[in-house]
Amino acid sequence: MNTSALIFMLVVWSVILVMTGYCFFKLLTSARPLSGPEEPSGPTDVQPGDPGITDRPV
Amino acid sequence: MAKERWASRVGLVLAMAGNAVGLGNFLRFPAQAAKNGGGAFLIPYLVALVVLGLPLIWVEWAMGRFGGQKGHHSTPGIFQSFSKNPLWKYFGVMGLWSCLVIAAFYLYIETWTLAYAGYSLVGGFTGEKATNPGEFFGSLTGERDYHLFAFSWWGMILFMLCISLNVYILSRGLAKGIEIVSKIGMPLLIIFAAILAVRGIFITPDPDDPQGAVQPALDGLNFIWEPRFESLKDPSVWLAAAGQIFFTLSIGMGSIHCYASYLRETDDVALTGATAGWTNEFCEVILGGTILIPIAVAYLGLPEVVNRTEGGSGFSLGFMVFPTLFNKWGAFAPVAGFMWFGLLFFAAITSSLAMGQPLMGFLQEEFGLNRDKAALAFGLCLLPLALPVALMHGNTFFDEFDFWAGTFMLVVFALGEAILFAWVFGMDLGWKEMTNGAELAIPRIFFFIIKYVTPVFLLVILLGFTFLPKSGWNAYVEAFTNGTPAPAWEWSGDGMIGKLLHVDVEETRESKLKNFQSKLTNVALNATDREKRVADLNKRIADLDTQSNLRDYERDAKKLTLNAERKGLIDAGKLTPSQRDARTQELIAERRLAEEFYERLPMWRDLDRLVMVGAYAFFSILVFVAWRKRASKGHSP
Repeated sequence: MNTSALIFMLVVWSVILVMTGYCFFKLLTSARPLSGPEEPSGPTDVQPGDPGITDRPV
Repeated sequence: MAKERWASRVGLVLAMAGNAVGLGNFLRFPAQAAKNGGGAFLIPYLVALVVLGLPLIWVEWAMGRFGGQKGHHSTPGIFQSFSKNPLWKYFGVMGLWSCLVIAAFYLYIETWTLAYAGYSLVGGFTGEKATNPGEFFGSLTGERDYHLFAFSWWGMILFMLCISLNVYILSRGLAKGIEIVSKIGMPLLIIFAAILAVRGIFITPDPDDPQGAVQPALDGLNFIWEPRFESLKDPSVWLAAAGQIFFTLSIGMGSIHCYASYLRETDDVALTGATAGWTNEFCEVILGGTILIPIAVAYLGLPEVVNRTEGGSGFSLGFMVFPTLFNKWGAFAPVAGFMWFGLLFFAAITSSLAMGQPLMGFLQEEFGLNRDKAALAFGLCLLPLALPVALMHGNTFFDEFDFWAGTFMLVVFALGEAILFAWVFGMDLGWKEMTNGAELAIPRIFFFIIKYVTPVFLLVILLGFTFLPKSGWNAYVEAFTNGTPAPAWEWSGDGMIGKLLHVDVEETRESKLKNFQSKLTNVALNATDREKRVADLNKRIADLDTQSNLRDYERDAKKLTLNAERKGLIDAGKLTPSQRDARTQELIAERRLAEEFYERLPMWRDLDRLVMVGAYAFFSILVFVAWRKRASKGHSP
């Protein structure tokens, strides 16, 4: 392999590995759970003015 | 009815990564990189990842989560929740339509990977009685050259089984279906790919084994990664890189919105979105880039691989050549074949499930169907589109679905959602939504990238793709910068308008007929003329050595083509008069078939387009009915 090709490959691989590793590390060490117990639903009727969406246009 | 949720964050990330990691990671990316300047292709590719890929991932995750809070799990409802204009829900129909149309042909390829994996494992492609992969493919699809209709009993049975498998998994729900498949499939995919990549890059020629490798696999890696910076000046390379980023991340389909809609309002989207995106890059650049081209180069040689990846697709290498190449791995060959097609199968199924979920979500939320019925309805909606794909030549429904739903409309959809999110909803609110609950600090620069750069980039891609000229954009850019006359304008068969006008059909027809004419002439030539033509070809081959603008592998690839032509010419000269007559009649009959095929092809393609328009209209009517129902119940849109 040419030196230029090898360097280029290693740089790009490093960027991808570091970013993937960093994201997974943060994800796996996060204290926050994704979801709690199931909650009842159906088509919901969130209206303007409901908590959490008061500043949204719909 | 209990609201569906993801069971774990890792499960969600793997499902999202599985959605993104598809066949394109292992077949399309390496071929695109090889075609568009090797290492230099990676520069526009990474630029596109930052200004297009990551921003759109975050936008789609944020849109999905926001819509999900309002009870919407598919893009008609999700888009409508961002604007008061009722037309947005009909634009959002594209997210249901694309998924269904793409699933119709994608599941067919998934069937092939399943068939190839099974056949590899039982040793069908290895040993002295090894089946030719091309013949296996013909038997699986029933497809024959220049015949519009195709049928294979066992191929069809397998296709139906594959559809049923998807329907069954979807009916199990998010946590017990999609998430479990992703948790099993993604790690296996990565393990299989890593084993093949490591085994592959250590291939070296052995002087004692003339049937073995012809050059080191590292030459293939060098070919992909060697920086050729001159290609950066070519706008087509930038378009190709942006296109690859687009397709690899499954942006613009509605599947990311759907998966994200099952999150809670305060669940993070920044970190999980980025993790899924970077996992896809790991699978594509590191694993995908280390298997197909290096192994193929080792056994076929660089020139042959250059010729086979000229169109920017690794399909021919992956399905028609790889099973034979693994044959050289001795006792490991059946397992290697199984691993290769197995990883393609896992890549395909995790993506096809993501295409089914939006329609499931739509039918569940708007029409109150339970999971089993919604999954069954997805299968039933799929059949009218999937059956023509399997029963007709690949140039008809398969190609049309791939181009319009799998390529062009993705860009249209992404442009629409970028405008809706950043300009209609407003970037200030959008940013607030994206960063709500974020466990990763998204750099502020992405506020401006999403607002300005991403929509402009998408618009450029859309315009470049729509109006693509036959001589490519580079010819016009050079003419403009150098002040030289620009080439006469002709549509390219690869662009949207060219495709719409069937330019590609006409180009292929002309090329095929020219090829037939050349073969007929070769057979009919007398000895003197034949010698003249062979001498002419020899001169052309020798002239290649004097062309300094060609790289070694490009020169060798051209030599390979000319040598094949010369061999055909010499072989035709060895025929007896009766063999010559028979060959002539055979070629004339085949040419007639080809002429008829290409005459009828535009009509069938127009019919395919009508079917796609009909499908869009069907979903629009469903959306109309659903919103009428919502209004009658007093629900907000």
